[in-house]
Amino acid sequence: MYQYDEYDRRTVEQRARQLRDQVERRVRGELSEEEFRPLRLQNGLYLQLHAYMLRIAIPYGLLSSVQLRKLAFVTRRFDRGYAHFTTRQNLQLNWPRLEDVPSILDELAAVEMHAIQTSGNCIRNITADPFAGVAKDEDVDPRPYCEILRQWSTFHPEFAHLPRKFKLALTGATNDRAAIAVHDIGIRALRNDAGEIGFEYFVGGGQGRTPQLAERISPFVRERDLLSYTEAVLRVYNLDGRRDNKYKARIKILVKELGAPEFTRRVEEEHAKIKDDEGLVLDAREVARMTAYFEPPRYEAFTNGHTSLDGLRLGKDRPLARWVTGNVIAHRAPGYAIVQLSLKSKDLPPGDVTADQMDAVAELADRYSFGRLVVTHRQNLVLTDVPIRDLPAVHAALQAQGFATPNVGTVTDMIACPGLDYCDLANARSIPIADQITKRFDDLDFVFDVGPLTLNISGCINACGHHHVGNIGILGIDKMGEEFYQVMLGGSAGAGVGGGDASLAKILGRAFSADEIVDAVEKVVRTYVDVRNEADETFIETYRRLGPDPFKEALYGAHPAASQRTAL
Amino acid sequence: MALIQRRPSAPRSETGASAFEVAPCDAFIAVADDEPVPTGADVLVSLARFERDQTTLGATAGRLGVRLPSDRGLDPILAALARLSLVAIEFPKFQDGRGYSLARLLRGRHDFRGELRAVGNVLRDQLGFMQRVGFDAFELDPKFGPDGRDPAAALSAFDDFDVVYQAAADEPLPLWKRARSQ
Amino acid sequence: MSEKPQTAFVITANRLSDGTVVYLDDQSRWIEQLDGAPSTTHAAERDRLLAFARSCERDVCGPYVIDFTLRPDGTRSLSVRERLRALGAEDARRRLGY
Repeated sequence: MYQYDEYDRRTVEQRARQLRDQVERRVRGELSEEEFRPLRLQNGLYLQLHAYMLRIAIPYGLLSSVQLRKLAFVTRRFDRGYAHFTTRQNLQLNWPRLEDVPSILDELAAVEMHAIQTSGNCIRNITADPFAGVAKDEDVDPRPYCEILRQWSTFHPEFAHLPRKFKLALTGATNDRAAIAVHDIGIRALRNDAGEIGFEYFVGGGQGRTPQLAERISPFVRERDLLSYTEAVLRVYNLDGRRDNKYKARIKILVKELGAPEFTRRVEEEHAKIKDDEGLVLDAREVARMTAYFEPPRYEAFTNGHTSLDGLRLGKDRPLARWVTGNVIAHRAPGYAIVQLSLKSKDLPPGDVTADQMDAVAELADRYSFGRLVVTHRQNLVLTDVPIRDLPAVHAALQAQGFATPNVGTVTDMIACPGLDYCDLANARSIPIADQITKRFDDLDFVFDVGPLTLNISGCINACGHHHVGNIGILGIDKMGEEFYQVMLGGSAGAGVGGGDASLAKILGRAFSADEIVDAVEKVVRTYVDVRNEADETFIETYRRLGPDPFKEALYGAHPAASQRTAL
Repeated sequence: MALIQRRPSAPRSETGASAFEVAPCDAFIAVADDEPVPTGADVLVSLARFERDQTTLGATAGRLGVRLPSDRGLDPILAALARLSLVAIEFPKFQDGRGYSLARLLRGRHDFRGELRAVGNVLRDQLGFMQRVGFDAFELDPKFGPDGRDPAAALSAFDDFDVVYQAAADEPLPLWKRARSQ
Repeated sequence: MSEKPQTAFVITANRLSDGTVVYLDDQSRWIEQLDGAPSTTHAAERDRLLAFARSCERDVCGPYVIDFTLRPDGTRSLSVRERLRALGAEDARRRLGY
């Protein structure tokens, strides 16, 4: 894991000091809210429906146990004892007081954390494959490149006031678990036939009100060109991106309006001029320096026994077997496993954890997983390096903490944004719908029979809950002053989550009231079970084979065309 | 209107608040499009005026400056760059960040050595970024907030950070290449 | 007989210190209960109150006007967002199980 040097430390300390000064100026009345707002936003501090919200960056989702304990401390000391992991692999505090925020940043700085660029029209926290470094299908560990890009993008003076926010995601694996197709820039690190590392480079994906899958603008950007190519993309966007309409300002609109060939031409033209700048050429020595931070831990050599998950999956202990089948994944190192902690239970809203749970997980990470853990964009946590030998003990400990629901990747492993319970932008609540769905699908046998299925809920068109890439997407809307929910089907964030290539979900028909929506979801799921070919045909495969008609019929009766007309 | 400038005595490589000062006066006279150009004076004109009267401006004015809108790119001034002593890049809103790229290109790609001034919605908390992309003068307008009323206080913003990660107009190498040689 | 429903206005904002939803009462104080906030049906009065609210920069953020229909029985028709705001933070936490 990357360790701060004196420069990184100074930067986060100075950032906390700068915000303290800005908050004091605001409280003294020297800054109006209009002047203060952009300053607090650049530190991830929002004013929500009932309170401030502070978004803390977790670069590429990677946390140490020390950092998690600090987050628990901050959550307890300055907030109300719980916090929320987001689809950007960040952590949000829901109720901080304005005057406490500089102190929170001081605390975070002490453990190499911050809230830099978690909001505003700048390059946001970079996300990555949560299984980076341990996945069996990984060609190149993306984390050294994430860190190189993090440093390059931190306070980049030219790109601090882009037309709109800008999100990067990286993977180095065959199966995309980082949703690179729906990011402003999506990067897949890979090796060419000569064994050299480079990057398959995608631009212009995104969700929100104009969902779009990214276009591949280069099959192989050389490692040395990673920074110059990215700088060229950002410069073209900064100069040519639309600034006349905030809803058309994302890079996806520029790519769409110019067309991918013309956009690519502009990038290549700019890149040709800067690719040999000494300030941008990435060299092997720097890559080696960064790679050293992400060396695998000192794995124990397991020679006999405890090297396969099959024994546990077929074992007599049914809850353990089910948990290993659902939440535990094969690891690259013999004798180790990747353990996913489900943050989707009956007890708390999706992605929420209490301070006590954070402390407990930090303890588990220290005991069983080299003190490291990862936040996933599906709002779960991962212990990346757990010995198979220890799985029964880890399972018991996770059960005690409420993290062992064996539902990862199933219908109840929902993504849900905070919605109108917290969010100033939302049109409808997400959390109560997620709660009802969890309760409706409480029969684990049925959930297991349904199999892999992503269900994503957003409380408004901004799509923080990724409804466009859910196999089932739910979008909250305000219809005549009441909460209504649209059902969308057929989305996928990529092969790792939800299956197959990335795709965008389509609206099925008219929206449902809060009282009707859970019945509608159940009908969709039961329809899938009825019409699937074999027990192993997944939801998305069935949808792609049959299209929306069987689902429309189940929800709206025999005349889907009529219901389509009244769709909102 | 307050103007912050690099101290004439400060070398280009110097950063931080000590390299800058509140200018006692503006050497350039802003001339409206319908006003006659005072003979021999250093003047700042709009791009429209510059495009219209390029030849006569050269004959009458002393040093010449042009205000460049954020949405026209650099093409309108590139051919005449050698005759310009000042380029004032407009920031109609602080959120309009095109001026940062324009400045960076003027300094790096087109080797502009004259004064590069940020004008319009320029705020204290942007000064560090602006200085890094090549601006060496900053006009603070009181209508956009407290910085224009107390420009001396705004100078401290140059000291907010002393680490820069990436190469820009002020620094040819990224931190990781610089740190290596130490 | 039917009385015509009237459009009425209340001034609201979020408190600077902690973001709590507040409303302007008839003593020019910021209070947490929507029920305690008087509503006006006069546009001129609404504008005067909003101007006052905007002068309270050191106490509140983002003041704005909630307009709603005053039903003949005196109840107010509010958007779902304003209904949830009016219920307050404590209620939000209780709903969420905290």
